[in-house]
Amino acid sequence: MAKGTVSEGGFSYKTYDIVVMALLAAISAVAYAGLAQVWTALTAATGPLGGAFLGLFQFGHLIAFAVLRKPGVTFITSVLTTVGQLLIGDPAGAYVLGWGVTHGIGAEVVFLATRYRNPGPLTLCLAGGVAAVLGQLYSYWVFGWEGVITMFYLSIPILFLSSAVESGLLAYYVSKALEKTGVLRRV
Amino acid sequence: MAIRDTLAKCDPITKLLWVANTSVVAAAMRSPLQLLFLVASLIFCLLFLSRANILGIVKYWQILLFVPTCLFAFHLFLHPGQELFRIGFLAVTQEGLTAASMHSLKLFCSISAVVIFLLTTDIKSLIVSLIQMRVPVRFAYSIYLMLRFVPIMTVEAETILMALRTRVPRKRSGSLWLLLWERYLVTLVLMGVRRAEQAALAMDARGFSLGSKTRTFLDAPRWDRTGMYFFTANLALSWGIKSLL
Repeated sequence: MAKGTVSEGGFSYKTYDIVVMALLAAISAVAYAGLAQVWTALTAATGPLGGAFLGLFQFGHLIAFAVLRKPGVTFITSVLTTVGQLLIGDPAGAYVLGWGVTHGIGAEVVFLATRYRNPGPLTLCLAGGVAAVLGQLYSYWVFGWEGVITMFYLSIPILFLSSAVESGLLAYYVSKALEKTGVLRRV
Repeated sequence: MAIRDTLAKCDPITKLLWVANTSVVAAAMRSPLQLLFLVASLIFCLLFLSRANILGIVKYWQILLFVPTCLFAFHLFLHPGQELFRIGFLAVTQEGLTAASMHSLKLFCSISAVVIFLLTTDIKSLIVSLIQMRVPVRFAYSIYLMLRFVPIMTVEAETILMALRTRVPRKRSGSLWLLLWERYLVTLVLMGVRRAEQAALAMDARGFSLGSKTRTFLDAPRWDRTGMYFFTANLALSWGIKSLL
């Protein structure tokens, strides 16, 4: 095993990978803590369509993948972010962890389908969109949207687009800018 | 031991399990009355089993009340059924009132449990407990690292924002706003990645990558029967409420 590598359960991460995931999770948790207040209030008060235009909840774990490009990075960063939100105090209580898991699985599946290759804008947009849609299915259960099923179905394509554009493109541009600085070559 | 020290004496893992159980049982309950009993048990825990002060609770009032209230208002007017009364042109039905109470109380129970956990737990001891429970060090420690980074990155974000503000005119066009946001995020992530490099180097130098077998702890939390009694009593009470009422 390489020096500074922690390997447990088949995945192999360097200490640097773990620190980067923790750091991006910290940045995301702080950003999402503010955003979550707005999103949860909008969604709780107006139903599935309320928060569908706010698609920024995927950028942290997408950037983590763009920086590290390893299996499991997206999922771990996503779950870690929601653990951070939970420990800072989130308006959805312990249910926030469910979004971490669903968003992580959604994005991870897309990266797995592309065999964890260098992510282009399309891959990142697709990962953001799929993750958001899976998260919306979980929101259906948390907020009890059985009575507004039409609104719920309508919210899915809107959320897919908003998350793909807002989070996917943001992650792409940030990773491109990081690449120019040369910081990613050392990873 | 004073009864008000019960939650402080419980180990963090037990309290975390209690939060999970409260959230699961709240989601499984099928009537507002059951949920009201669960709320009462949570208030009892807060007032009589912990030394949480009023100021500490007030700090979380927005999280505790805002979203459950919004969810209550949303469901109240949504469900058709037997009309109880009207507020303007909006009809409140029996079904709406039941659904609104159910969903908002479910969320309120989970948030309350988390708030009680935060008010009575030292997060550092939670991480040590996780490692003692043989949770891989990298996962347990990454939570601690992430929490260490939160205040550092908040200050960093403020500094970058102030630096950007001093360099641009007060009146900003749409394209300038976008450019500023991109610069802000890129700088923040870049600073973070640089900081991560330094932290990783320092951690490797101190033997972080050796794993958990040879790790020792200073002031490690100890397992105590109080936690076991508290959790068992809560488990029996919450599932008892669900099945008996």
